[in-house]
Formats: sequence, structure tokens, C-alpha cells
Amino acid sequence: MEYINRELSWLEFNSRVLSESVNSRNPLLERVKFLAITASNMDEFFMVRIGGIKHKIQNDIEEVDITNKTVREQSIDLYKKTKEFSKKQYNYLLTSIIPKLNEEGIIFVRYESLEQEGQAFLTDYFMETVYPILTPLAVDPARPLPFLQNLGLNLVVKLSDDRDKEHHAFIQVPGIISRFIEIPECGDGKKRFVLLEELMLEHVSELFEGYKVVDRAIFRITRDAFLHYNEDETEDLLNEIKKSLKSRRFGGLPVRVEIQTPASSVLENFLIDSYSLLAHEVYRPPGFIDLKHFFSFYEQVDRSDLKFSRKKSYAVPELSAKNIFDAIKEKDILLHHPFNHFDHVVDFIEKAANDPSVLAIKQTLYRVSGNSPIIRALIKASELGKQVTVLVELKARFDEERNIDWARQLEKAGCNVVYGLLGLKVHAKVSLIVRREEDRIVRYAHIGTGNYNNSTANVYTDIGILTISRKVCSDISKLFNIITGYSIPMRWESLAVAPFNIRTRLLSMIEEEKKNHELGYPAKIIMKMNSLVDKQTIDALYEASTTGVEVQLIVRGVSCLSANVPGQSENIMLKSVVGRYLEHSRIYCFENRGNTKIFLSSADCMDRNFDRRIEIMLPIESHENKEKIMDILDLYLMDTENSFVQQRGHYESIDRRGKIRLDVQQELFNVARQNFKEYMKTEFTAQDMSSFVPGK
Amino acid sequence: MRRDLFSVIFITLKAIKFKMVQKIEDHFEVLEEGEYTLNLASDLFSKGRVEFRNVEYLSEVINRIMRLASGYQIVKIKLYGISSLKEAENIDYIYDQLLLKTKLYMRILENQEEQLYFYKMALKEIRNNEDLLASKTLSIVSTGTGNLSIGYYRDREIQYVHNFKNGIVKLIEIFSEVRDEAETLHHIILENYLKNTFDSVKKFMPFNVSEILVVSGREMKQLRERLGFEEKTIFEIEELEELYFEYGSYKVEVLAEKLDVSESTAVGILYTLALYKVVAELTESKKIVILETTIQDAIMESKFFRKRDLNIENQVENSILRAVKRLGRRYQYNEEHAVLVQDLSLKIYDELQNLHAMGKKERFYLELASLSHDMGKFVNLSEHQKYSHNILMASDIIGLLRKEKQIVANVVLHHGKQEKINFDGPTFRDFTASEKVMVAKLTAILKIADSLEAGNAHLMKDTEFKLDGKILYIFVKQRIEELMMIQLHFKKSHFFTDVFGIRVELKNRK
Repeated sequence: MEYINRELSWLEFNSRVLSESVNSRNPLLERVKFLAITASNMDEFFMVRIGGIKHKIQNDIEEVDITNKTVREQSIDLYKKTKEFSKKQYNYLLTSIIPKLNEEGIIFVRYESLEQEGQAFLTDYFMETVYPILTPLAVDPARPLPFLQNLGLNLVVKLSDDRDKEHHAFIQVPGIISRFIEIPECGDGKKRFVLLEELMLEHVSELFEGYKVVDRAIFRITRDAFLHYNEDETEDLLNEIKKSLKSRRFGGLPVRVEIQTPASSVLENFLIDSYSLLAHEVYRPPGFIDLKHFFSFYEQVDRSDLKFSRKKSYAVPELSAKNIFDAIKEKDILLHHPFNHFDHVVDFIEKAANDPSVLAIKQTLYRVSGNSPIIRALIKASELGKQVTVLVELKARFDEERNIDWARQLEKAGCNVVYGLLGLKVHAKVSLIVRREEDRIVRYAHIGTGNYNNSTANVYTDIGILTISRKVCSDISKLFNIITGYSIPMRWESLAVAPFNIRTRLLSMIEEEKKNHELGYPAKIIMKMNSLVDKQTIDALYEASTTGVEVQLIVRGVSCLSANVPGQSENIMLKSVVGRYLEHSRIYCFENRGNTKIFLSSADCMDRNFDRRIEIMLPIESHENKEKIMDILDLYLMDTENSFVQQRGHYESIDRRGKIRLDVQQELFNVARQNFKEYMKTEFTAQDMSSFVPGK
Repeated sequence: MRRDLFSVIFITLKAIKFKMVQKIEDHFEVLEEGEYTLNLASDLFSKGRVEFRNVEYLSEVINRIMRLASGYQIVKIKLYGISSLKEAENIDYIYDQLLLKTKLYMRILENQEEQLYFYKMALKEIRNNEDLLASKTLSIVSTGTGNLSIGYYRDREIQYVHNFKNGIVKLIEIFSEVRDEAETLHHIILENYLKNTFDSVKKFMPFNVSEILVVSGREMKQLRERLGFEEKTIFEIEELEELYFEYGSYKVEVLAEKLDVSESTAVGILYTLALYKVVAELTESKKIVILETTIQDAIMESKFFRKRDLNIENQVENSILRAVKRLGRRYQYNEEHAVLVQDLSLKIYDELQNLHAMGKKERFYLELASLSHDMGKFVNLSEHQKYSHNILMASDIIGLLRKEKQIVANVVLHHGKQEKINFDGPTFRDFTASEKVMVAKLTAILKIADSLEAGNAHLMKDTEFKLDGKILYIFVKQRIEELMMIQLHFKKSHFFTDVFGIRVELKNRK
């Protein structure tokens, strides 16, 4: 069977994101941002994926991937591909983005090209702002090699003393000062920027009085991101992670060094030897090391004409001007973000917090936003005497510190905070409200594919349901009991839950489609997800395809499934949608002889999701919501503007010839707006309009 | 306090189970349910006591459950324990610690109670299962943690039950040393042990041939889930035997890994299969059906969460009556006399309904007492009441709880000539005042019925009773001379008058 290596597939995904940085449909500064996104992605890739492979090599772990490549073979491939990728990034930056910025009057300049006035400004700036916070770190037998901060930008210099003896020193480029120093305008309306590290290089000799600077270079080290703690041996997970976080900043195995060209081979070799790097781990960008800084550049440059204008998201008609609990009681409500307000979700928690009839709130938190309104609502609920249980997943990678802070705040407020589950990451996104009503206790639930993060909710596409279903609420209760109380799993009434049975449920659904096709019924599978890596699922899809089942896959990122392989996956169409909003929703749809079964899930099709995480897969019961979701999937399948079709691992932009041009993400906004407008027209008169919440 | 919300926590040797429900109209909606793994069996069966750390853990889990309940503002929480817990030497300490740390008093169920609930659920499931309904004969095996019972079901009723002291969990503990010595043969040794145990019982009560073996238990539930057979409930005996032979060939740790369970669960599954194999051979059953409910589920459901099912209640009562008659036959009692006394007693009971204000349950006790009152004559004629009492107390009648048995046995004990009942005697220990009064009333009725019948069965058919004011008229269709003979035997009416405040008068019904 033919498969695609996971890491290489991921690089393909990042290439698709990179292509947005040269997509002329995107405003210029958004293109800069896309470039920054690819850089951030690459940093994480090096720290996590390549770091993982390096660890395996170092520890002689003989493993093969899904394509039967050994770790060493994978390592060789990856370094080659990442070098190509890096070259492409800088090519786009230097040949497309920078020139376009110049045209818009946003210019990067070198110190020496500036007039006297400009140079004087920079010198003053250096002496007053930069110099006082610099701490050169010399290296000699008495002072060992300093631990340089992971991903931090640094200068390395070679010095010569009055006896011509050579020394080396490092200077960390301070992260608290903006890297892009804007020079005061000189009347032409243009913005000029100098890079901080270049300014430092210009003045580096001032840091070493009595020495001559004979060589210099700018560089950055990337280390692996593992938090080294043993879950099984630790009683206090919280403290262990805190300790490990500290070590992550400075420790870890180096996996990459970027040395800006031009740099002498002497200095290069010095760095390689000092940090025990291998030759292939050296990257040589032609400038602008660490493209992630363009995120801050995006914020710094006040040019709204070069940025996306804020898109309006719309209220869900059913939740307009109605008590949210009454609305949910009437029917299950589908929420699709960012096309619908994420405020509905926040509102759900906030209303619960303030409602005297609410007895208890239970919530999972995986990645929350800074100053989260949901956290504030939970704190308030606890202060008002409700029983609040919050599961904070400490092991949400790179969010551990933030999550620790929020956990502490919730605890202080009296919430029952549970810090994850040993050995399993809690990835499910659920809320449960217990409310005492006239004659009974009623439970309300929100289940979604997205995190409870109002920042990412504006940039990710996610889908969720508000429901009162007894079976669903009962299953969620059981899930919380397992997570918070270590009770053993009971039989699930409605949900499929990982690590127990999501994979088996999916495989059985795929098998059912195969049988249906063999019996002559229409059989079709549509799956939308972020990653498709699990071999069992892939093999099941291959088998379904060879039987003749039509399989349509919308996989944003990594896919180890190779589409359109003769005799294997001819009936599998696989596309990736990469647009302004990061696709994040997971929807699994099965024809089921005409009685379509649709599931929303927090889980991608990866073995880590199925086996090592707590995840949820929710069946959609309401016919109305099934139709809405089918319409959404149809739009994704019809998209021409953001789609890349995979052919045996390679992605090409979709062939638009003969197709109606459709941007799915734009269209979904149109649909949300249309729904809201129609609802307003049919339900209310003009006089009543003032009582309604318009689309924000 | 909301009366429609409550919670039950049930401690078994392997788990703490809980359920929280709200009552809506005539049904229960489950709000929360779950279980926490526990292992008290090892403490109990190898050391005879529950270790402190386990008691601590119990308290901690119960408090956790109570916190969960408080989220629903549930205040009515009941705590129950399985009968095997009584075997703990430090049971008083456990009661005390749980009360101290959780403010809950644990009530330990009787073994008979557990069996009763299980059999009720089994009868219900049989009714809903086509395969089982179609079969005439079934052997129903209930494996509690400390006890084992095999019930014989025929003609839609449980005819009788064999009870054994060693349940699967107990056997696992007993055989732990054997397992250490004989890595892959310990289950064979267990098989032989079970065969010997059953052989010794066979002499007194044979195992009847049955078509289907009906089983339950946590181990079989887990096995079904592991094998992916959640939907399948009926198997050929050969299928299970194949599994047994296969599993028996592995070392315990290998079996555990294969089934993805703990080692103790793996042993539980293997021993359960051994047990079913032996019982299937004994009863010549060809198929095996695994019931949905475990005994613990049955207890929770039957006791707390289901409406009374009158059909099942009647089936159980008939089984008890049949069991008592079988007991009587074993002691060669006069069945004609017993049945007639039963008939007379019930007529008196029904006539005096407004006077005694007792219910259906008490009527049933009277029936049982009527049937069993003379069993002791097999042992000793003059003190037959005492021996009837002892025979009853020593018997294991499925469906009859300990207190109920004590009530019936006390009625039987005092049905003789004596005019007073000593309520301070040892047989009335733990009796409440109302229970003592109940015994007095039932005894008074039985005395009348017994003395009416005494040796005069042929005369007492078609007797009628009528309460008129302060007199209970007994209408017999006899000549005056025969009536006088009856009067001679009719000496027990003083007690009746003391109890009910009415006198008895014989009348000739023309």
C-alpha cells in the first residue's frame, strides 16, 4: 500500500500556507502575516517533530514510519525538504514581499544607507534604549558556553585583545524591544525600518572596550520542545510541568542553527562545535532571521488598507432575543464560527454563571485566550455559590504556562480544578450546565470542535452544538466523572469517546458503507478534518475505495493517505482548504443508505487522538442540523479559491476551469448573513427591530 | 428537600457503584451513574478484614460522589454494602469510619436479599428474551463475590435453588497459592474442586437437566465487551468451552495482556468459565445465555429504580411456596393437613382484614407458616413446634429474607398450646414492636385454623367464617356430635381472643 510520510505531508501543508504569502488576493500585510505563520509553524516543527526524530536517533530507537522509512532516512529527507522550504520562504520575502512593501512606502534600510540625521537618531536610540539592557557573555575557560534562550536571536563576535589573543562573546538580542526600529519620517510619507540586530552590530565594538571586533554574525538556535517529566513518577503534575517549563527555555537538544549570511566559516564552525551541531543542521538565511517577528511588524504598521477588514459574524437566529436556555430547549442549535458569533458560547457560560437556577457548571479548558471572559464567568459562578468544576489541560503544548495561571485563579475562586489526567491529554471541548427548573433538573451542553478561546474563535473555523439531549448530557456527565473522579467508563449512550471507542465507531461506519455498496445501496463518505494519520482509518478508507465507495476527504494539514493511486484509492478525492481562516472543524459524514449519519468531533484521525487523548465524537440527531452540515460540506467540496487537490502526496491548486468560482469561507459568511436577515424579516416587524442584536 | 431526587451508593468487593436519579412522573431519569474500581476481596478473603487504607479510600470516593450529588442539590443519599462485607472482622470499624467521614450509615444487604433481586431481574430478562421464553428448562447461575447459587427454572418459575458459600472472588483468593504453584493448571484444580462440591450436594438434591444455562456476573460482562460481543447474548456451550481451553493454556499475565484487563480480572474470567463448564456438564445444558445485568446492577435496579412488577412478584412468591412444600415433603409432613390449615388460615385472615389491618405480605407469611407448622413432627412430636422453627431457620429458601424467615418461624414456634408468647425470648431479638404484634396476630389465626383442622380434615372442608361484632362465627357443615368433637380440640381460642378482642363460636351451617 502507498502512504505518505507524515512530516513530509506536513511540510506540504506549510507550503500551502506559504503560498498565501504570494497570493495577490490577500492584502499585503496579511501576506506578511502568512509568512510569519509559516515561520512559527516551522519553529514548532523543528522543536517537536524534528526534535522527536533526533531523540530517537540519539537513543537508537529503531522505528519505521508508515512508509517504512527508518528514523535516519526520515531525518535526511526532512533536513533536505526544510532547507528547500526555507529557501522558498526567503525567496518570497525578498523577491515579492519586500519589493511590494517598498512600493507601499514601507522600507527596510541599512544603517549605512541613512543620512546623518537618521544615523544620529539610531545612535541615540542605541545608547539610551538598547545599550543599557545588553549583557555580553564572554566565552573562555573560566566562563563556559552560555545557555542561550531557545529561539532567541543572538550575535556572536570574535574579539582580539592587545596581545592578539582571540576570544568569543555572545550578545542576546533583547526580545522586549521592537525588532523593527522605525526611523522618524523625513517628509516623504514613507516608513523606514532598521533591524535591531543590525543596529547592535553597528555598535558592537562599544560593548568591548579594549578589544577589537574581528568577526561577527547573527544567529539563532532551535532546541527540542520536550517537557522532560515522568508522569508516572510524579505526584504533583502541576509542579513538575512548571519545573520543566523553566528548563524548556534554556535546555533541550539543539536541532537547528540559523546563521545569517554572510558569515565566516570560522564563526560558523565555532557555533557548530560549541553546540554539538551537525553540518546539515545549519541553515543560512540571507537576512531577517526568525520571520515570526513579522507578526509584531504586522501590528506595528498602522496601514489598515493593507490588512483584512474585520469580517462581521452573525448571530444565530434561534438565539436572537430569546433566553438561551429556552432556545436550546426548543431544539439543538448549530454554531459555526467565525461565521456565527462565538459570543453565543461565551453567553451560554455567562448566563449560567448569573442564573440563580443553575446549580453546577462543568467545563474543559484546553487553550484559553488571555483575559478570557469564560474564565471570568466561571469565577463569578463559583463566587455565587454554584458548583464549578473545571478541567484545565496542563499539557496543551506551548500553553502550559498560561493554563497554570488560569488554573490558579480558578482555584482561588473556589472552583474545583482538576489538572488533566495522567497519561491522557484532555482534548474534548465541552461544557455542561445543570439547572433546576420547575419540576425537574435539566442539563444543557455545549460540544464543539474548537477551544474555548475567543481570540482563536475569530480566526479558526469551528463547529459546535448547544443541546439538551438527555443521552448526550448523561454521557458528558460520565466523561467528567472519569476525568475528575477516576470512575471507570460506563457504556456510552450517544457519544463515542476516545480513548475508548472513537476509532472503532469510525471503522465500523466505514465498514458499513462498504457493505452497503456491496448490497447495491448508494454509499458515500465525506470526512473533514485537520490531519489524517491513523493507519487503521486510512486502510479502511482504501478498502472502501477499492470496493467502489465514493470517498471525499477535506484534510487541511497532514495526510498520510495517498489519493488517486490506481487499484488503491481511485475513488478517493482528497483536498486541502487553506484560506484566511484556519480550518479546524472535524465533521464525519456517512451516507448510511440515505439515512445520513453525521458526527462532529474534537478528534482528528490520528492515533494520538484515538489512543492518547480524551476526545468526543457527537452524532447529530436533528434532521435540520444534518441538512445544514451537509450544505456546509457541499460548499467545501465546491470551493475553488482555497483548495488544493492531492494526487499521490502532491498538492496542486484546484483546476478552476469550467467551475463556478466559490470561496467557501466568504460564502459561509454570506449564508450566515442571509439566515440572519431572513429571520429578522419573517419574525419581527420594523418596530421590533431595535430589540435585536445585530451582527457584530 | 426535594423528594424526587436521590442517590444510591453501593459497595461491592470489586467496585463502588453509584446512581443519581430524579423521579419524573412514574419513571426515573438517571442523572449520573458510574463506578470506581476497588479491591476488597483480597483483604477480606485472605486476611479476614478490610485494611485501613481501603476504608480510607472508600470514604474518599464516597465523599467524591457526595460532592457530585451536591451539584444537583441531592440530599437523599443511601449507602449499601454487599453481603460479603459482613465477613470482615472489623465490620464495626468500617461502619464507624464511614459514618464519621461521610455521615452516611452503610446498610449491608443480606445474601438472600441479593439473590432475590438477582432472580427477579433474571425472571424479567427471561420474559423479554425469546430464546429463553421458548425453553422449558433453564439453570440460572448467579455468581456474587462471596456466594454462588444455581437455580432451576421450569414452567416459568424458579423451582429451587442450590446455594454455595464460595463465589468467584472468594475462589480467586482461595486459589491464589495454587496459582503461584501451578501456573497453567490451577483452573483444572478449581474444576475438580467445583465438581466435588456439586457432587456432595447432588445426593440431597439432584441437578436437573436443563436446555440453557443462564449466567450473569461482572466477569462475563467484561468478557463480552473484550470480545466485541456486546450485542450477542446467546452462545453454544462449545464456544465458551473453546475459549476456556484457550485461556487456560496461558499464564495469567499473558492472558491479562491478551484480554487487556488486570490479572485479577483475567483470573476471574477464567474461573467463571470453569464454573460454567462444570455446571453445563452437570445440567447437560447445550447453550449459554449471558444476562445483561450483573447481580449488583440487579440490586440497584430492583430495589431502587424500578416499579414493582406484579407478575415477577407472583412468580417469586410461588417459588417460595413451592420451596416450602418441598421442604415439608423432605420432612414427610402431612401435606393434606398443611394445605387445609393454609386454606382455613387465609379465610380467617381475609375475614378479619378490617380488624388486623395487615397487608399482602403478612398474608403470605401466614401462608408459609401454615404450610410449615408441623414439619418438626418428623423429629419430635411433642416439641414439633420447636423443630419446625429450627428446620425453617436452617433452610435456604430463595426469596425469603432473614427477617421474613424469622417472622414465619416465630409464628410456627408459637402455634402450639401455650397461651402466651415470650417476646423477650432469643427468637425475637432485633424485632420491633410492630413486628412482634404481627407475629402475635398471625399466630392467633394459625392456632384457630390448626385446631379446627386437627385430625378433622374431612370435616373442615367448606368451612366459612363471618365476623359479626365481637364474635367470629365459624360455620361448619357438620352434625352436632361431630361439632362437639371439634370443640374438644378447639382450645386455642383464648389466645385469639386476647389478641383480637373477639371470641370464636362454632356454628352448624345448615
